[in-house]
Amino acid sequence: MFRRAAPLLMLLIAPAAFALNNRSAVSVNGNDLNPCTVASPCRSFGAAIAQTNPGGEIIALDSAGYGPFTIGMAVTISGVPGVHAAITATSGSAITVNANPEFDYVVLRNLVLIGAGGTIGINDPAARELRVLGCLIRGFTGYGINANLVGGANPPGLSVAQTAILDNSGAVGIYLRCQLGIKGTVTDSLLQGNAVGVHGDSNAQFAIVNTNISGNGTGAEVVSTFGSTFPVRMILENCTIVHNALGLYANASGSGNVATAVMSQLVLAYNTTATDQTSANSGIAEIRSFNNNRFVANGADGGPFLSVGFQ
Amino acid sequence: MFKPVALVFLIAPAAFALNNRSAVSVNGNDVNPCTPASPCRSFGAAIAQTNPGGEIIALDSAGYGPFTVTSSFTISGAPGVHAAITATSGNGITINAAATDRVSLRNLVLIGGGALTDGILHVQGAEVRVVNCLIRGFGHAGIESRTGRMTVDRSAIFDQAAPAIGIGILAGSNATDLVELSISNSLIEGNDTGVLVNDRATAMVTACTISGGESGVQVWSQDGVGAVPARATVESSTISYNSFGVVAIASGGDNTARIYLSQDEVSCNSLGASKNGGLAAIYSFNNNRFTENASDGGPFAPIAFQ
Repeated sequence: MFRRAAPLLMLLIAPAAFALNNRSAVSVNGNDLNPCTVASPCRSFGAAIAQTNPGGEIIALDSAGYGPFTIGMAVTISGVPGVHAAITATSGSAITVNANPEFDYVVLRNLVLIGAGGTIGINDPAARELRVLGCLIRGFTGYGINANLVGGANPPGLSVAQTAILDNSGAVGIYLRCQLGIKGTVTDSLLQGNAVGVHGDSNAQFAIVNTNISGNGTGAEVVSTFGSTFPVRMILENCTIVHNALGLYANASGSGNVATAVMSQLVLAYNTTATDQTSANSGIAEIRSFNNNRFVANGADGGPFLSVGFQ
Repeated sequence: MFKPVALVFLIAPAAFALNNRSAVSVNGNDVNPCTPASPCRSFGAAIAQTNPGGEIIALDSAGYGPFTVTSSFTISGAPGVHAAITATSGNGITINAAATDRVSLRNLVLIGGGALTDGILHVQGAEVRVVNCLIRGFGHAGIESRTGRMTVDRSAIFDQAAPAIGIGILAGSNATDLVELSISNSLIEGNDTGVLVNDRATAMVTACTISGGESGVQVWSQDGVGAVPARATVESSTISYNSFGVVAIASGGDNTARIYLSQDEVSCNSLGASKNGGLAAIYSFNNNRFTENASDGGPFAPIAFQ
């Protein structure tokens, strides 16, 4: 006889009616109970993201550590210029970008990521575009930046500029892979002391410009060994590739798999082996040259290279 | 029999002198005189307190709101400061000054709400310089210049793409514009069109990365009256992952659209270079690297070193 009782007894637990910010802020003196505004900042990026409108931004006002966090929407996370805004990861990833693969554009700017037992600096399983600008990423055990995406209707992208990816020992500095295709640019950056500086895998296409790739196990590599018909392409322009065990590596195995690297205005010096092109099982690995590269004092240069003409 | 002459009250404005240097701060107030010692809260209020030829600096990291510049000013985020303008509607910064005025915008962050608006719109003025700015998310253009000279250096122009279709940097939008555009050391990524150079505009693009759009650099002469030129020279730049790397379009009459390429890396575009119309041309100094495009789009008209 109490059939109607349950709805009447329902308690409505409403969330606190705070408007979200277009611009949120974190500070060393902030508190996560604050509204995360510039005037009343929070202490952690994670709390600030929850208080921010999609498409907005979060700025770190002071030099401090702000803790690992996950991004699930379009947003810019920026250390204020002049500020050392750091994230130390003692396990897992410092920053996880798991947003809408079709619509969400994410910018990370002026951040310092330190792996003190953490495996990945920036883990990007899903976003339309991820832009990493002016960051320092060091000491991770798996990847500095891991852009290994499922993808959406449009191919996702990764751009890295003015960023140092250092001493991720035993790890890959930048990893790009998306079977639906991923496009990337690395500009004005420093890749040093990693097991592999940059690795492109199935259906990745990326250009590396004005970048120093030195002191890695392998400097830059394209690998197409998964399934079939997953080409990978890397364009290198005006880079310095020195003091690596292996400077440039192209590896293709399997029918229809193609790994291509194109060299222009490069200096390859003091590498144990400057280049290696390894093809197996009908795969095609190829390093092409515009005949304007400087090979100096490598243990072995590798080659010959397919020549490409200017236009 | 009193004549009412003495009943007039004079309400005079407060006689503040204008500043050569004004300031805004997150803790400022727009009733202040906008000095560094007593800053205002918004750029708009500070502009009204500043002598033409002066400057306005943002002292702290904060958002300072959209504004219009009507005279020669420098608007600058202090080095080390994140001085932002979020435009949820309308343009971020509008420059509508005298034809002789010069405006500098330095170390600013502009964020759009995706509507059909511009990050920076130059309507009138001799020259605008945009240095070290980040501009993202505007639905029409990151930067639009309709007149005079526009210089963009060391800036990032990202993702004028969602949810509308946007242009990174737009020079000229009708046949009377005589825009001189110069872009250097900048990242122009994720825009529908990276750089669009319209009728009567000339553009110099140096050491830029232009990627991830429908068109990287597009030159478009379409006005039917007279020989309307549009020009872009692209030097030492990387143009990658666009549907069309560089595009020259000349339509109607004797209009000409020309792109000059030197030391460029044009890679991984669906079509490296495209021209459309009898008087559209792409010139090359024969020192460009076209690679891994589905089609390069050549041959190109030769132009020799001197």
